[in-house]
Amino acid sequence: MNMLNPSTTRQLAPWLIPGLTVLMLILFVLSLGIGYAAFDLAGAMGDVLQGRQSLAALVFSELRFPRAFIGAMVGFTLGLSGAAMQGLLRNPLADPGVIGISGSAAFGAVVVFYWGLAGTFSLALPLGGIAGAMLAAMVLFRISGRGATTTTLILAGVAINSFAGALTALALNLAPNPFAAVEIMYWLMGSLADRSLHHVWLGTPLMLLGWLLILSRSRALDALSLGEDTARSLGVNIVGLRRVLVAGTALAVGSSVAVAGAVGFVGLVVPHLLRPFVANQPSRLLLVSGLGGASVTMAADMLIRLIMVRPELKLGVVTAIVGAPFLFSLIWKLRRNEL
Amino acid sequence: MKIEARDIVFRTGDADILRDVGLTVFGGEVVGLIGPNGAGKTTLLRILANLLEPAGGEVRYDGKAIGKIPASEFARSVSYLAQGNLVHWSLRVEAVVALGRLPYANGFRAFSADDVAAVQVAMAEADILPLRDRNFDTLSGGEQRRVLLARALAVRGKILLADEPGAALDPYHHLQIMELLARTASSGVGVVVVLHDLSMAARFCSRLVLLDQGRVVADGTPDEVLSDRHVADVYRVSLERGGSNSSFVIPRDRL
Repeated sequence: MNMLNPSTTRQLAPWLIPGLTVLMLILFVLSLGIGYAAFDLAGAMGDVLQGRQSLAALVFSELRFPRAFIGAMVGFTLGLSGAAMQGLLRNPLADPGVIGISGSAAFGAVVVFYWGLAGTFSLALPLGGIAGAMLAAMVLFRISGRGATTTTLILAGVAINSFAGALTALALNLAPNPFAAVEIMYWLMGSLADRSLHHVWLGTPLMLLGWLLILSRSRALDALSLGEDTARSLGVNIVGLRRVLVAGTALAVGSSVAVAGAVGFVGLVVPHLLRPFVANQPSRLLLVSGLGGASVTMAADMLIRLIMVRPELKLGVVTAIVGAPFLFSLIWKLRRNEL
Repeated sequence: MKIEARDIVFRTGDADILRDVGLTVFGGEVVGLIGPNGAGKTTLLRILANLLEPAGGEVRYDGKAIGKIPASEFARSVSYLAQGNLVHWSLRVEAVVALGRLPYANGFRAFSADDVAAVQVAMAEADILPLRDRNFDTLSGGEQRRVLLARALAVRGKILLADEPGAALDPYHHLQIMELLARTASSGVGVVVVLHDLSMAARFCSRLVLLDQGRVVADGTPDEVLSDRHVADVYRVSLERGGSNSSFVIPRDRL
């Protein structure tokens, strides 16, 4: 990306991207190895590569691999889109939830639950989530056209989010039976358990497309740091930028919510944590937050499997329990700096 | 490059912000847009920068209608320095200046040797090389202003539109910025600058355009525009003059 000259990178940590990539890969391998039953990872991988239909191979390809892979993809998506939203809205408190994408994707999936479609075919749930995210993106597109301010965009997102939340609550309220309500509740908490290769195939292409859309606008996000007028004078099409970023976020986060449910705080906290390491530059923060998000999400998911609480803790619960105090500490630090 | 603005009309709701405003700027000139608060100076500058669309009239760059110039070409030809020192994230100084090269290296394209050179030259011109690794919010107001001006210079445009580049600066840094604008113009760039400081306007601008209530009251050399009558009518103040050719003016009494 922005490798202007050696001096540009002087204050930036050159180890950051390689370091985070290695960390992510280590966590990925550890995530493959950690589970409730003893597991010979090397043997299982050998079986898979040689096409042997052993139990270990099945556990690897149907349980361990999808769980670790989706964890990395979902985490990358949340970190990347969180950084993109913070850059677009120029607000450190923004995340994919602020523009209503996560809430609408969750509602889309809840509709599938509610009508009992989740059992009819395995992809109904993810497709419902993606449809919800797309619907929210379309409403935002209508609103974020020419002349709309960032405040309008945030307000529209908050409205969409509230409405999606209200409709989700309505679905719970009218749930045909308590089991359906519990199923919806559990799903809303976010989890990587029992995901299969189907979910990998469904989620991955759309997430990759979303990432590409977001990353293609990284420099425009830098320009936006100087305000919309200056960004426009540098040739940035603000309406186009918003649309590409909202579309990228909707595709990536929609698919992420669709395969893993609602996982909070990663998109908010990870960019915050890493921003000082990239000298606050929105373009550099994107990839770094993606890598950080993937690591944090896989680590949280491993924690769930290691602490052996039954029933298994949900991923969204763990990220919120770890993330919220962290946010408090950030606010505390901010307050101290203000004094 | 030549800018021609003709019969520009701009309205917000029922209020006429600009009425039949015309302006011509040639390369090598420093044209000062002056006038009291609310006269329409910033609006006119934003119309010239294609950031606002006028309700009437037209702006042409080298005879070409502003709307017909491709956005990337326009961004390379015309650089715009907005009012104030707004930078949302505390970026490094060099990263801020490098944003001036965005019209040349958008998307995934990397910065070229030309871009690197332009950034270095712009930082040297604005005298901010020692600040290059500092974060923007650790700088003083004057330093921030110079960094943002360097960002605008890094575009290497043929036209520079600057909105109050010296606002809130001490005399030393204000002079430094005005000298820099004059030097930029001497290399053939057309500079349009919104100013409140009449003494700076008188000294550094080759031409002044005096706006009042959305109309051009006077357009000419500083001597012609800053006549006692114009200043009294528009600003409601009297001027004290001094120096050779009355090259400095100081507002003295309210009328």
